[in-house]
This record gives sequence, C-alpha cells and structure tokens, in this order.
Amino acid sequence: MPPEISEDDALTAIDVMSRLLGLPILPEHRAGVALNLARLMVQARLVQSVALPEETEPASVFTP
Amino acid sequence: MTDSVRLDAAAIATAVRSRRTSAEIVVSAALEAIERRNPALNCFTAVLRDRALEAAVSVDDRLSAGGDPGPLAGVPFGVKNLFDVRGLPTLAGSKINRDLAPARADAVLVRRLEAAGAVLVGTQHMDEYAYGFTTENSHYGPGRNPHDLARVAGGSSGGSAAAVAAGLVPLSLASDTNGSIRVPSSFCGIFGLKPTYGRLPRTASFQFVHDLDHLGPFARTVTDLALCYDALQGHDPGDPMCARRPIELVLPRLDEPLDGLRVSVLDGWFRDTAGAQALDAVATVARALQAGPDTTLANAAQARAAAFCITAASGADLHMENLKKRQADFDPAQYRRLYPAHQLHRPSRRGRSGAWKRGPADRRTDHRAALAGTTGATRRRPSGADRRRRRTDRGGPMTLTATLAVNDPEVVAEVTAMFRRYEQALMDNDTDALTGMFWKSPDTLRYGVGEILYGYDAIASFRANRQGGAPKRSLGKTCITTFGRDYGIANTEFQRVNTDRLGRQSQTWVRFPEGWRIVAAHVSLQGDAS
Repeated sequence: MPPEISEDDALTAIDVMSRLLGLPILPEHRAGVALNLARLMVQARLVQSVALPEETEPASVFTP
Repeated sequence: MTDSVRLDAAAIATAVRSRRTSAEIVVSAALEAIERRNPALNCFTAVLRDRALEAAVSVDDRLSAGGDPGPLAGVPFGVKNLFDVRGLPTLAGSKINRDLAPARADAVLVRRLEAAGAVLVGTQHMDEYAYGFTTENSHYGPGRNPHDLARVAGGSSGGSAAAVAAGLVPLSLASDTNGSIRVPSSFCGIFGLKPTYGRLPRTASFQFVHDLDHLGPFARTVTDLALCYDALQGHDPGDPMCARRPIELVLPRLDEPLDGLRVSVLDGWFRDTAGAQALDAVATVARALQAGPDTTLANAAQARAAAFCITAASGADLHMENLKKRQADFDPAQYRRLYPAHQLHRPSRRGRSGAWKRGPADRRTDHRAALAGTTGATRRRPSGADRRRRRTDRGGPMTLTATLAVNDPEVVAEVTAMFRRYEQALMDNDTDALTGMFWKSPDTLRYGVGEILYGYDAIASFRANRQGGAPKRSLGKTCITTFGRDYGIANTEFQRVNTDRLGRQSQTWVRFPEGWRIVAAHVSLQGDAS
C-alpha cells in the first residue's frame, strides 16, 4: 500500500493537473481541492484493495 | 380548515373525494402555510400559487361533474428542484442552472402524481447538484430542520423532507444517490422510500450519477408512502435504466402478514460505524420483525468507497464544462470535491461487478430482507458546524447491492408450472409443446439417456423422430430452486415403467422476452458405481 498522500504532494498534483488539462483553479480553492484529492485517493485505494479475478466483468445490466 | 395541511395524504384525498372539503381549500391552506413558515424553514425555492390553485379548481370541477380525479385528489405536494417543472429552469440547487431554458414539460413522476389528482405547489431546496447531505447551500442559504431550526434537515433532499416534516405538504418527491432520501427522512423523523434501482423512471429530472440515481417519495405515514408509490409506478421509455416490470401495487398489501420473510441485521461495517441511537432503532425494528441471526455484507467498506469514487467521478464528468468556465459560480464545497475527481478512472469494474452483487457473504442466501442503520449515524449536528466531519453516507453499499432473491415464491411457482407443463407434454408425447419449451438457440443442449444433442435444431429433430415418445414414468423428490427473477433449476428423480433403475433429470430454465425456456437439460439413469 503506498503511503498516504501528503499535503504538498496533493498540491503539486493539483497544480500539474490544472496545467496539463487546461483546467484553471481558483486560488482560494486550491487547498480545499488538494484536501479532497487526498480524501478521494484514500477511498480509491480502498476500492483497489479488493482482489478481483481478471474474468470478472461489470454487472452492467441490472434487472430489478 | 387551516389545519388541513397537517392531515396526511390519504385523509385529504378521502375528504376531497367525499366533498367534505374542496381541493381549493386544502391547496389554499398549504400555500398559506408555506408563505408563513418558509422564510424560517427555507424549504421551498419556488411557490407555484397560480398553477396550484388552477389545478385545485380543476380537481373540484371534475368532482362536481361526477368524475373521479384519482386516489390523490386535492393532495398538495412539492418536488426537489431537480425535477423538471413546466416554465421553470431546473436548478438542481445550483446558480449555474438558472441560465438553462425553462422546462417545457413536467417530469414524468410529476405528471403521474397530477394524473392521480395531486396538486404541485412548489419546488424544494437541496444541496447543489445533489452532492451533499446537509442542504447547506451557498447560493440559497441553509435548509432548516423543522424540529429545531438551529439544526440541518439532512440532504441532499433536505427541503423536500423538511416541508413534509413541518406539515406544509403531506408528500414530496426527491432523489437518492447515496442516501439523499434516506438521510433527510432520518434527520426529519419522517418516512422516505428509495425504491429499487430502475423501478421509477427518472425522465426529465436533472441527473447526478446515472448509475446510482433513484427518485422516490417522502411522507409522514407509511400508508401515504404506499399510496404515492403506487401512483408513481410504471415503465417509461425516457429513462433507459427503467425496468420493464408490471406495476405491483403495494397499498393493498400493507396489512399482509410477513410470513416467509426472513430478516437479518447486518453486522460488521454497518454495526461498527453506527452510532448508539441508530443501533437502538435497528434493534427495535429487528425485534418487531423477529429478525434471525445477524449476517454480513461482504466488502461493505470497499463498496462504500466505490460509491464515493463513482459519485465523485461521475459528478465531475457531468459538470466538466462548467468546472472549466464557471468556477466561481459553484458552491465552494461542491467545487472542491468535483475538481479533483475529474481525472479519476471510474472504478466501474470493481464498483459494479457481479462479485459484489451476490449479497450476504455467508451461505444463508435465502434472506429476503436485511436491516441496517444506513443513515444518521451521528446526531443531527448544528447547522453551520464543520462540514467535513460526518458519517452520513452510509447508504452507499446498499445502493450498490442488489441482493439476489433465492426462491422468490412467485418465481418458484412460475418455474414449477413450466416443469409440470413439460412433464405433461412428455407423457402426452406432444412433441411440438416439448420442443417449444426449449430455447431456440444453437447454444441450447440436451444430454439424453441415449443421445447427446447440441442446439435447438438437433433437439427438435430428435423429438420429431422419436418413435412412440418417451417411456411412461413417475416422478419423485422434485426440487426447484430459483435465483433472482429470471433463472431457475428443476431437478427430479424418475422411475420408468420398464426398468428398475432410478432416473435423474435436470432442467435449467431462463426467462426470455418470449417466456420461460429450457437452456440445458440432462437425463440419465443411475449406474451401479460412481
């Protein structure tokens, strides 16, 4: 499991993303966005921790 | 009649239909109550006075003319402001959507309630783009809890729940992605229904997460919830995820005994993350329903995380253009959560895979109901308190889970009827009927005692050429098991008249649009050794 994302790393990631994607960011939201990126990554790692066999496919058709 | 708005929907409809009051009186009282109390509650964002009074008069006119305006005659209702309402831009709690063109028609569910005689009186407050659990909204101010104005109503359907809890209307329509009906119902002390995904059409409502969005009602009584739900049911082609299922009225069944219903409390993550108050409530319901042993939903924490990521990624994808062009027009809380999610790979395979949809982890898969406190793990916190610390989105795992119903009595009855029809046709040597019960596909197969047949054509040819038909036989120990609504297996032992050897037969049945068909069959006679 990779270490938790640090505040500095999250800020760096946000700045790089903003530049590469042409998605400007309001300066007053920069810290809040970075915090939410870190939070999202914690959740994403939890999802990634589930071992799924390669043949598992999305159950995209749901018949209630 | 000022207090008429405190009546529930069933009582209002009865009073209006029997002419003890009029729809106009009831709706006027609701409009007056909204005008008086909405400034403090902040639950309605638009009040449709003229439209509502016109509709109410029309209900009364129909009654005067001897007509039947429907089971919700004269019942005032509101809708979360993500439902299309003719003449209004569909705000979905945002400032940005004020620039949308006014909706040209009402959402399908609004039309269905009005067709049942109900009267739309206004649109209701919500978290911006339904992304939140508090109805604290930087554009339109915080929604308040009618039980204590200093506290939040929950969200994202907070305005709709508060309006019902305050008695301004007996019914509201709202949406639930990860708990947006369940959470505010809990916080406001009323009843809410998040139906099964795909059961109610979302046509002409503003989406949030296509894969997880549900629409449903709030009410102050379960009877009202059933009355409303019955009026809402039915397929609509405008929502591609809406199930093609016949309407199943629930109101007439409310008093039926719960025979055959096996109930369990979910332990593990659901218990570990719940507050004492929620656990007490679950225990009370569990006692009333005589719940059996606890059961575990596998990977609940991971399912919640998947719902969290899917939600963030879908929301960011939906609002991408505005994230680029109109940053300053977002509620800051939404902007900060949507922005970092726009590059997240949607964890669709993990989040929605069959592996997570199998239901309880243990072997007791014949449960029909599972109980868990999926909302309000903590006390209603004061409005304006730190928005970060909360654990209200505990509905996510349940949203993702479609527990497979094993041996649903209706499905078992259907497969049993098909099994018997097949046996009758076999004994009558009705070859057309027998062949017609097989799936018309090259993938269908049948292992007979003396033949191996691949494909429908080979099976049909065998039937047509079988001299004298099948030997006469009697059946024993027939065992039919069904999984979900469309899949069943029939196994039986049989004894042919001309032999002492025991026979075994297996049929796999699948429901196709054309009806139940056998997709695989196996007939054998027992040997002397394994």
